[in-house]
Amino acid sequence: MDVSFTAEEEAFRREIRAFIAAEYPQSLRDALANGAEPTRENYLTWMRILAKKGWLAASWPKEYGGPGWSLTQQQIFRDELEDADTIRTASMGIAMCGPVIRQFGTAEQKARFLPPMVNAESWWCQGFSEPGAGSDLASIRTRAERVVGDDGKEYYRVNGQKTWTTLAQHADWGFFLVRTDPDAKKQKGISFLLIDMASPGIQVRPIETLGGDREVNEVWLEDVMVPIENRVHDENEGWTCAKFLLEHERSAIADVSRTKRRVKNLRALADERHDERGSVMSDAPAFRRKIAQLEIELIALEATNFRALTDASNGRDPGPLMSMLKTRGSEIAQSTFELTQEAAGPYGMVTPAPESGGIQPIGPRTGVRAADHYLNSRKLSIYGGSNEIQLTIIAKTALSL
Amino acid sequence: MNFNLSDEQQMLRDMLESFLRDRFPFEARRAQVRSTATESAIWSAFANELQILGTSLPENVGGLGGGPTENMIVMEELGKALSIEPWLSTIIMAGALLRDAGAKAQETMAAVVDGTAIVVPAFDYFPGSFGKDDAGVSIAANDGGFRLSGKIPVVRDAARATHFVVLAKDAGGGQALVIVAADAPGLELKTYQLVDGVGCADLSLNGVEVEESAIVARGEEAADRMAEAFNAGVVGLCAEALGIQRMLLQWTVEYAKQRQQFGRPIGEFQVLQHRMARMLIKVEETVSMTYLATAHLENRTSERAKIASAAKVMIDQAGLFVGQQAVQIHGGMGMSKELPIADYLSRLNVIAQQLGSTDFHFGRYEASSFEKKAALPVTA
Repeated sequence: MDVSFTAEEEAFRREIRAFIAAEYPQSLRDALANGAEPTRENYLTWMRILAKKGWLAASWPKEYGGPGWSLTQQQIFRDELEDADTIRTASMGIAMCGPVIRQFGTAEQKARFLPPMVNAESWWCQGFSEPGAGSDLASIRTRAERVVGDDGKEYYRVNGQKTWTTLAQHADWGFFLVRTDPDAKKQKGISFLLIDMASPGIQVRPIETLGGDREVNEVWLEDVMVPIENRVHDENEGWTCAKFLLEHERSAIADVSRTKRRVKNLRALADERHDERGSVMSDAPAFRRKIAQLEIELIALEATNFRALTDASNGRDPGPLMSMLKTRGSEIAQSTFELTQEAAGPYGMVTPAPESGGIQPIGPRTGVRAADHYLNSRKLSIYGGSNEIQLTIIAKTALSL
Repeated sequence: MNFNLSDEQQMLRDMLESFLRDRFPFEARRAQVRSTATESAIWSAFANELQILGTSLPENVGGLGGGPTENMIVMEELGKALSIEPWLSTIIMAGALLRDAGAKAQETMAAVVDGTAIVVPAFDYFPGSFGKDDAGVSIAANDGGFRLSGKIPVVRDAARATHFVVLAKDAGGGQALVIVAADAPGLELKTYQLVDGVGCADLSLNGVEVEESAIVARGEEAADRMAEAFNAGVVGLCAEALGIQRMLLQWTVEYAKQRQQFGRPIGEFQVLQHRMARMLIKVEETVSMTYLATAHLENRTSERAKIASAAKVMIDQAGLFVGQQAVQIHGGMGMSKELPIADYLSRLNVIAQQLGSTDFHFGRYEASSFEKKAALPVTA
């Protein structure tokens, strides 16, 4: 048993850290400092810099344009990106759709779709959930029928509605679950389609949510014509792709690196802000105890994440650990937002006017929009398979109940 | 970084698990707890048949040179069987107090390895706990040797001890660790049993005479040894709690699959499925913290005390949840002494108070997290 990193891993960490220090644009930091909602261009600025270095598809093997890093190196990379408070990279392509295409796609699909992902030239969104299909995802109703187009080629004609589609307003492409056989049993009649978001018949409408930022959308599809070669895997094998993808999604969802950074911000805030009794929050025994509880839970989460990493590195299936990481990861992140809001007090309650590009902070910067972020964080235990769904998975798979 | 066990460590686990399953069924435990015998067939077998008493001890006392990982493996298996053998006191804690501490210490630990001595640190709960304000032992020079006087409450495994390691203070407040034979004139034991079945005693030392060679450490060195022993003991308790939690979860799931109410197994009810999934999450978090804290001890990192306390907090909380839910899901049968569930919860309940309460370890963690420069308290 060993908790230390090797000299090579430490050197790797220094290389990442130095790169971020040198290359992360100060202009981007300034643009987001007041809690402004990131623009498409904000995201892409940093994604292009990483892509140029060959690090955007950090989890990918070399043959597909990734750096070919070990799982430990990937974890170090994530830790450093988050620790430096860099803007998130849009992950629907790299972390979700890309792996599905690599696993199930044809040579043509790989050649066409993977390089733009690696080069920050395509932005992807996920068309899974529907108004009637949330936790019960397999009950989707968006219909895709085979038709012959005016050009004599075969198409799917897609009709239906997707919802909760994250950052669809920025997306060039979407990967969709659609029903290709309405008579087959639920999971059986689903296919996995790649759809150009500029196709005629697609409408993206924003959904207003807790926290204020425009994150999710409704996506309406009306007679959208999708070339048959945009289907990944066989017809009616979409559920296989979805299951594979959801496993990938779950592993990233523990979000250890980001929560570690947020706890650091929380600690800085608690050192700065005075409570009603006039002492800094960090000196209040009851508040300290809450932070200690959070930190201890986070230490356990990181160790569990590390065990899952070790299993995966050794070719063992981490199995129910993934559902556990999703559940605890989201709960611990939510505690962090809750405590940050508590530490920020009234300073965290200021919210920007729509499209205003952030707020003028009235207190510590680490407390900016703490209330908005707390409200927004309620989503964490809902998306990616709600925590109740995860508990059911654990009961079924790990305990055979 | 890795949490992998070596082949030898895996073999140790397998060997001990099958030995305890065959030779220490729960009825044997019940009988051992009821008996007043100070001999234990299991400990003798550890010494003679399995020859594992030296697994984690240094070669200079006849050990195999293993360390925290071996102790973790043994403690987890002892926890699964709810064994009351004094591995934590004798091998882990006395082992840490006496490691490379001179001829007398070496000779005493060598006797531990061959099974002829059981050394018990004469502290577990700390002086001042349970409101026993008169606790504490003083040491004074006397006629070429030294005399010890004072009281130490709630010393675990005391009835089985052949030797104690006593922490004493001289008139100037300096600390000393002293080996005292259990049959030394002037040493009195008032013995009793705790709810987990382990024999404890309040020790009174009334002018117990020892030679200079019995003093194994003084001053800062004594404090350092106490801290090492304490951290190692805390992590050992975590591993024991892990074994206990594993059994409680396993039995609870088995019971829920077989117990019928409303015409079906109660394990089909989602409210209980989710409860048991939560139990599994707690058990897995206990695994993670036990491994992490063990690896920190193994690497002797500067954070080992902080991580040991973090682990104790987390595992105390997890243990109570898992134990309480095991009883709850077993219903009345969980209360009944017909099943081992009640006994396993009793032990977890004691662990949450042993070697520092959950609150104490919260405080110790906070001292290290919020006041980087402050030394970590070993005692409250």
